[in-house]
Amino acid sequence: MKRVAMISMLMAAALVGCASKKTATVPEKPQVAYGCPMGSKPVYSMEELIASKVQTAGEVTDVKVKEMRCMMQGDLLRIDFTIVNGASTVRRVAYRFDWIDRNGMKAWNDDSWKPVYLYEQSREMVVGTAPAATAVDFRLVLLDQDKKR
Amino acid sequence: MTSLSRVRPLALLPIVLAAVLTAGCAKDTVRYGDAKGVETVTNQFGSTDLQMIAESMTRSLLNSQVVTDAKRPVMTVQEVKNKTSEYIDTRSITDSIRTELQKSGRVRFAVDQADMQQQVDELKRQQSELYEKSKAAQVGKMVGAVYRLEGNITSIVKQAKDVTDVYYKFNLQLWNIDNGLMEWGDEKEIRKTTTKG
Repeated sequence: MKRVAMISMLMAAALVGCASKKTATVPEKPQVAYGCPMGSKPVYSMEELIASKVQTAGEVTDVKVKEMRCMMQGDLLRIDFTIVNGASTVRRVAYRFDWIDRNGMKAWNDDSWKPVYLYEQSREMVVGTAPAATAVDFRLVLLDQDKKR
Repeated sequence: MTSLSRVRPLALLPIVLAAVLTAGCAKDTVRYGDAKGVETVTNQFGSTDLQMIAESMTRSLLNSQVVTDAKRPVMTVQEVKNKTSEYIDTRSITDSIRTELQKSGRVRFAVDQADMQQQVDELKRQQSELYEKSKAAQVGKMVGAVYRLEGNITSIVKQAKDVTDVYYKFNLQLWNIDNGLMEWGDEKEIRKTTTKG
């Protein structure tokens, strides 16, 4: 009788153990690539980082973002990126940051479009800083200024 | 003789009238645009310049040691002198800077000279017998600023036959009112070129 009770207790304990294993959730570690926040998505290269952070408003030809790095300056996010003009003519583009908060919502009013003048076959390093500590993530948006609208 | 010269003047009248009527009926089109878009209508100081200056100055000041080290320092905005040859509402620039800084939650602003009269008027009004004494704002409790923001905007305009070049430089400084030390300063340069044709 004792043996039966012992076996049933062991089985119950094993079942409880299995159940607790299933319900236990390990919080996902926030990913960071080159200092830039990536949420839960791991990024393994600069190209992947740029692809996930840079967007264009319409088509932008010849001008690309080649490098991007982020760091915290106090409690504000600072982003450095290099913009490259591959064309053999002067190009004018504009850029702005869209700021995102911890919940993935818009963290700030729209930034103004900032014009950039790029000499032919040249690169320009640009720096952006978050407007507030609530802006923990971003998207960089490029706009072709040579296009007539 | 061309064929046109043979046409009687009266016969052309309906065509002329129709053309005039059509031109008169042509309506202007009104559309909403991007308030933050790059504006290049003329090379005079415009909305993009104002927005770029305000944004650049705000972000720079928020990263300065005086703001990061102090706990919500109290500032006041003084005049930004317009040293350009054109009319620029510099108050609009400082208003944008003040709003952005205030929204960041890291700086507080004391009443500046421009708004002082309204503040005093309201204080006096609340001191009247119309208000309950215990709930009315008290005289002598206003907080003075520790820092003052002031600056200037200058421009250089050069004109050649087909080209007009305008260079703007906006300079902003933060001064410690107590000891007169300049704690922060930054400038933003803008160049705009108009080419005819």
